[in-house]
Amino acid sequence: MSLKHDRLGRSSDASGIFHAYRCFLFFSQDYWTWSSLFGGAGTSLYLPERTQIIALRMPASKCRIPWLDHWKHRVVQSFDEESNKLDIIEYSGMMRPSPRTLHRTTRLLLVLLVSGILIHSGLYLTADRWRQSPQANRVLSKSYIDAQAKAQVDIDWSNYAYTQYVTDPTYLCNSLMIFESLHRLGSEAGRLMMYPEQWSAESNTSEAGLLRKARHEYNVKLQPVQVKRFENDGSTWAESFTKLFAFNQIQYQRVISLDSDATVLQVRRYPLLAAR
Amino acid sequence: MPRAYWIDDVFSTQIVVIEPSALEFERIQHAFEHRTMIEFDMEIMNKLYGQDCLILPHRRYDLVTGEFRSKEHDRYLGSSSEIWDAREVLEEVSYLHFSDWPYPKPWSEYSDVTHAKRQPPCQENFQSDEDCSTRDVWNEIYLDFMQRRQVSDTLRYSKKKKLTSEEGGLWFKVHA
Repeated sequence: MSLKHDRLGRSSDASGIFHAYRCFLFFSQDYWTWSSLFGGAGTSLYLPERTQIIALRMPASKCRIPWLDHWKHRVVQSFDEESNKLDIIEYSGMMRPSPRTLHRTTRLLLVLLVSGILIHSGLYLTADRWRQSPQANRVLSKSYIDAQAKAQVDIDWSNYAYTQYVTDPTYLCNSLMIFESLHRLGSEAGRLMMYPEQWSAESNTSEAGLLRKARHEYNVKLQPVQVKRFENDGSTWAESFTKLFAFNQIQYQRVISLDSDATVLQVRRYPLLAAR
Repeated sequence: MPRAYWIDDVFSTQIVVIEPSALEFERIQHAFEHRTMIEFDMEIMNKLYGQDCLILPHRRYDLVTGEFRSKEHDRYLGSSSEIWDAREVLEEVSYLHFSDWPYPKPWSEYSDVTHAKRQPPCQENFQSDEDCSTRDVWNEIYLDFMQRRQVSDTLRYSKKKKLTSEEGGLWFKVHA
């Protein structure tokens, strides 16, 4: 542009063009990759006409591409007095100029297509993030909390239960203590004790006495099960397989299985059992 | 299931919220029948549901008594910046499991023998005073259990040595 009549500033302009052209080289490299994908230029690089070079001129400071610096550029400059045009031809040692294989319009369309796809996918991803984030930070409205509180009042507690398993008299005693705690702390959910089918709640044994106590005083339902035992191993761990019988208590929607070598200190009504 | 916060990458089965289902029970039975020698209920639960169960926050829902003996509480508290307060922790938690190795289970006949020397040590705070609040809380937990256990023992079933409450009280006052 301003280059036409400014002969003194030629060298600085030329370096501007040089850098601008390096930008263009970088751009062309992309274009070249794409065009070869579409069956185009192969390994060759098309060098644009000099008018384009001049039109692309921009301040050198805005166009530093460090990773291209190591390329060996060859710059040929000549000034045509008659037409007042500056000739600059530059190409790297890695790529050689070759005849163009695609028309300018096709190239333009391809460039537009590619940038269109990039912009679209970029916008889509950003919009997706925007769509999600307000939900994550949503503050529960008062009406929602009220509705939940009302639902909590309406809970049918017969669908829920605490389950215990016992395999020997020691753990039966512990288990009774857990049910006593649940009873004392005012738990509204059902209570279920799974015990070995060999025991009978109606006999005169001490186990039977504790089973009856659980049933009468703490509203515990008694569920006889076949206690699984390991051969050669009588540890509590082995017998704690019995706790998995809780999965078979399909008369309940949800149960909380508690080990009985523990203490229940609080009953939290809402969060565990009836949460949806 | 809550994380077994005192170990890495395992879920605890001390407290489990379960939706009973015939299909799942079948899966468990199958896993039980094809178990290896080192697989117990916890291993089976972790194998079947360790990848996709909902995680119950262990804090407030699942505490082990060994925590009062531990020197580090980051894992339970979930951060290293919060200051451990045994009393506060006991008040917020709803389920406390007796696992306190090497201290035996509280109903064990060995538990009273080893009690005094196995209780948690007092901590020295920055003013070099002795802070025994953690030890006191630990003693309260065990005393509470022993007393309740004694009540249920005296009612119907007992083959073990009984403690009167006076004995229990004195016995728990022995520090160090």
